[in-house]
Amino acid sequence: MPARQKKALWGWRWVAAMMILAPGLALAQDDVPMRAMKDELRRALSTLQLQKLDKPYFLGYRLDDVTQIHFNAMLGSLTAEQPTHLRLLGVEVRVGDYALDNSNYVSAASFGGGMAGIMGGISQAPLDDNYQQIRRDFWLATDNQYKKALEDLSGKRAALQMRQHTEEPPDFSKESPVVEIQPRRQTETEQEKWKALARDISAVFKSMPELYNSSVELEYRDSYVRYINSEGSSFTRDQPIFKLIIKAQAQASNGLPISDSINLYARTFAELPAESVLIARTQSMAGRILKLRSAASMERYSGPILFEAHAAGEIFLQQFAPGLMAVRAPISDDPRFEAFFPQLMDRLGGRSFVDKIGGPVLPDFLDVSDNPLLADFKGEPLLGSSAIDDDAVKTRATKLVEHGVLKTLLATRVPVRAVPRSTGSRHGWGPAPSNLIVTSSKSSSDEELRKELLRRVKDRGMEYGVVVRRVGGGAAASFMRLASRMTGAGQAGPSLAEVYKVFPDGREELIQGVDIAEMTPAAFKDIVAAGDTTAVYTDEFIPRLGALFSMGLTASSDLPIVSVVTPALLFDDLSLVKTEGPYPNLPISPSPLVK
Amino acid sequence: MGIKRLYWTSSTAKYPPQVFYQETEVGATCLRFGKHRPCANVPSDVLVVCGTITANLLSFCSWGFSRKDVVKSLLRLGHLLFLCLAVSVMWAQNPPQDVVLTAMQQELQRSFNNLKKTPVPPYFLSYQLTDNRGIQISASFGALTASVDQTTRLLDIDLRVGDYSMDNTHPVRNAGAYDASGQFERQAMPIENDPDALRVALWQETEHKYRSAVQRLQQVKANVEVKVQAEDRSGDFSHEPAETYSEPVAPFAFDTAMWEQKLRKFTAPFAQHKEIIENGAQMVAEIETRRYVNSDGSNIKISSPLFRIILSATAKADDGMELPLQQTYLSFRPEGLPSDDTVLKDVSRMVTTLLALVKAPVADPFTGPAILSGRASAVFFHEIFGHRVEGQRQKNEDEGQTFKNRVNQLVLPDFLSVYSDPRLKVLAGTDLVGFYPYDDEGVKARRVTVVDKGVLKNFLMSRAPIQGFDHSNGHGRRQQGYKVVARQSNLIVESSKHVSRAELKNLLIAQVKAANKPYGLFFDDIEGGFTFTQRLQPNAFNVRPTVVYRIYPDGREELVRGVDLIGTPLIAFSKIVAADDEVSVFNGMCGAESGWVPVSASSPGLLISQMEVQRKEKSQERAPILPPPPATQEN
Repeated sequence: MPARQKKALWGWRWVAAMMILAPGLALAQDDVPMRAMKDELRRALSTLQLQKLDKPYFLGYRLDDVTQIHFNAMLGSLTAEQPTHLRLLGVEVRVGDYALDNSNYVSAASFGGGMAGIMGGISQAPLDDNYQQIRRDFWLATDNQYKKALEDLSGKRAALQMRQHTEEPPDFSKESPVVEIQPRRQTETEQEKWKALARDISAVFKSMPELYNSSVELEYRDSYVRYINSEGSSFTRDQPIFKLIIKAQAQASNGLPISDSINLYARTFAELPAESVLIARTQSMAGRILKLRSAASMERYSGPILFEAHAAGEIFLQQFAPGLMAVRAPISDDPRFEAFFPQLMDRLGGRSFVDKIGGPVLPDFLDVSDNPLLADFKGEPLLGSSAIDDDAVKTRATKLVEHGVLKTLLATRVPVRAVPRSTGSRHGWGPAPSNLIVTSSKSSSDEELRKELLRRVKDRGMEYGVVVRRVGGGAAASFMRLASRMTGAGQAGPSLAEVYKVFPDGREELIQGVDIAEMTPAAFKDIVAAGDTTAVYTDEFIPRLGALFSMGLTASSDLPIVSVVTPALLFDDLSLVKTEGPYPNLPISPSPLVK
Repeated sequence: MGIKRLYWTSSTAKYPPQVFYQETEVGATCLRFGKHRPCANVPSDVLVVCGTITANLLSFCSWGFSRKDVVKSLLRLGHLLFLCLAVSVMWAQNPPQDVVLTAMQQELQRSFNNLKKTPVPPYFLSYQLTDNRGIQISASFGALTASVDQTTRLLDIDLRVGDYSMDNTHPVRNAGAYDASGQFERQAMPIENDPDALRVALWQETEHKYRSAVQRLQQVKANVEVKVQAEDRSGDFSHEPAETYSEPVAPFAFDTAMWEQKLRKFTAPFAQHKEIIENGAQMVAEIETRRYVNSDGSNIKISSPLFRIILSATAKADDGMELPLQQTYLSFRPEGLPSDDTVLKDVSRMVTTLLALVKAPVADPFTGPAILSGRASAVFFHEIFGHRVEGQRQKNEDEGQTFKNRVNQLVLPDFLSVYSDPRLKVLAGTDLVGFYPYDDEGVKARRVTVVDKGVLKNFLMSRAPIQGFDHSNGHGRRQQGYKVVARQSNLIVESSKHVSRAELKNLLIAQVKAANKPYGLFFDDIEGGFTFTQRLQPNAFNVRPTVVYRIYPDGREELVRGVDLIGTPLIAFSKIVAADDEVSVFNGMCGAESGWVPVSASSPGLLISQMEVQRKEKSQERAPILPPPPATQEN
């Protein structure tokens, strides 16, 4: 072969190799929506200015292609089938400068339009890759947000002039630009299989008429995100998720409602457990609910409680993790609002640990880190992993607690005094964990933990101890509890799905209808021992609502998925109470399934 | 609650008075459906024969033969025909097994009997199950924005404890907003037809409804004791005969991809004008099947598709005023929708009107003579008159009760008559979307003469009686999930004397001169409006015209913008002086206490001797700072 030809062929190979290596890059170049976003962002950054007022110093554009398919089934029949395809655009406009801009400000006017003021940065965009229309929608959204930003900035400056000068941290942290183009995944389409799975699992309950309510919910969400900002960052990201929730409810003879659920998440359908496994788990949950109907109840308990590894992950995520998020309290034109805001936000998301940095929050043998870079933990998949966050900041591992002492909090680009830089933790409208790993430098085997529990029980002269196998409910339930706390109604503490009395001879007895009386993050300092095996618990995380006020909602975002890795945890002293009544009456007719 | 909003979205055809309307016989409707009827358990090759016999049988019945005679005469036709006949007769007596309907009947019977044994037994129970498959496509400025295909099944239960004279639905006076609680709670219903799953869902919801009914009856009893005696002491529920009626699930075919392409085409022209700031086209194709059973033995299945296209666009004038225009097409059949050419012509007319409106002068507040076009009059009548003759408004003591004590009195000029007829399916070629054979309480639809030669005769009635009107006249309607109240169906305004359109304009000019006014107004198109019917507010109306002209004494017409039509009902009706001969039909969705329901209205154009207009509310948003981006990519 002549040398020239050889060289040409080599050249082709090289090009081919490049194309295989960089499909994402090719996509970013040719992608019509990305092109429209870039062109409009460039135009807005160079020419958008109202008279002599500030020009924007930062623009962020985002476009989410959302596919959401939702199936619900009961007793072998579908009750809902809702496929949704939509495209949402989000625009973030900042005027002023990094030190002082229009953000972190709430005025009476922000509430004038209800949520519209807060959600103003989001709108629906065309599904077609129509350059002109996508650009047009970004143009109008930018115009709208720019005008609002100007009003907010002048309101904020006026509000600041009315008070003694305090040292405020900058409004927006400086971060280095990142380009991270991920290829788009193939959307999964085997809907018939998903439907069949939902039907089959829900049919398990047909033979159990005592379960008066049951449902199986299977949801597939795939949001393909395109993002660019005026600092030169851009990314695309595609993280589909399957969510499977199996629920059942019964009533004890005294009317006490008994419910339980199995909540599962996976990145692909194939990664969900096999149907036979799911059916077996459903049957065992149903069996336990039936047993709980006539199980013993307990008036109150105060003493040591062992949370087995799975339950420890649940309680840690619901009760402790929210405090690890750094959220800025916004400035307002109304001082009454500023006084009221922190209380409101504490109620809606638990108190932040911002004042505890440098102090103990856990016993000295426990460490906590957040690690978005891990794909699995000892072979079990972790679903909170991602390479880039919603502010286009590269994600990284963060040591949160070392030897029981709080080191830092998870933050977005909206800094708080103690945490001046982003930790790459913006997921949705605020900071959220990715994969939380709790490790213990002093661990005991399961058997030793139970012995330790019983030893403490004996020391206190009690008849039995308590083991929590599962808390249950998940993020949604804990959010509902917080919401009900707003109105002053409802129980503050979590209800427990699977709790046992443990007697000195090792015998276990299932107990119905128990709640934790009151639980604050301070209770975690009373952990006295940890197990040597861990469990991975995955759930949705609801970012603190307070973040909405300081950051605004600039892109729709699915609730972040968080995985927690914990060992079993033995608490020295916690109180349990019987679930408060009044309980609803029993049905008048028996179920039509009773033959 | 007091505001009744109506968003009219339609305009269709104009008719010469001689073909004013054509009634569709109920019998004819049955015949038409007979041909489509599926014969369960019969091989498909005999389907046609079977259908024909069914049709014949029904037509014989409607001509007065007894069913027995028909059966005898047909018995000789041989085995195959006998088989078909048997199926047909079974159909006529008891519709063939619809598993859903059967599950509903069985669970209703079982739950009702069990609940009967309680200390507070129910006296009435009904289930209405509404299946809806809806395809919704939206586009804007030439690009697709949404395409959704959704199937839902929703349950509405009416469970009554107490008795016909006083039950748990009795209004609790001064209850405030809390009394509406529970209206939006929904039990998930299987969308598949497994009887066990359906019955469990029905059972759960019945139990739930029973508990709240018992609780509410206690409140009702206490409320009746502590408040003054009500003015209207009629009962809470009327006795009505049990009805049996069944239609097969209507065929439904829809080419989504083709319609996505059409909507892109329909909206593209709007993208060429920077004055037009908002644009949307929506195609909604749906099929709704309603199954109803009650403890009186009623058993009804109705199925009907509905197709609608809504085009809308808004232009913004330099002073910030937003100028909307809308155009809607509705039909029961996809073929009933206009051709692409017709739609594109309408699009181009909308664009021209919008661009003219942007430049039109802003009108001032004014009183004087005015013409409402047929389309504007129909909306006006639906809104200002129709809502005030809904039965429950004569009873509820918070309501203004404009017409309560005016029965057999003159309420309109003597040349006007008004009736409401849900049995009309077509009016000279235009589908009337207020059509239904049975209402949402299982009562047979019927024509109601509301006003005869200016004299008020009747109200629109659901099964909630009012003083002097003990029975329903088939106007109890709701959107799934809401409580039934009396609503309009097809509202027809007829005039016994009419003049040509040109003559009506001359009459207007004469009035303008007589009143020494600089001009009169012509309201060509109306977007919608609202009216207050409750006592707490003034009983005024505000109707929002989109296309208004000034008519000068010399006959010149000038397009203007920026005014709303306002007034009070009794004065406005007393000022109607003439009608023209151009009758328009409007189809639209009407929203009130019981949700959104499809309705139609038709009216000739009307001359009103005095109308008032006020300034329209105006957007304070300034136009975008940058010009629109270029249409093509930059390099």
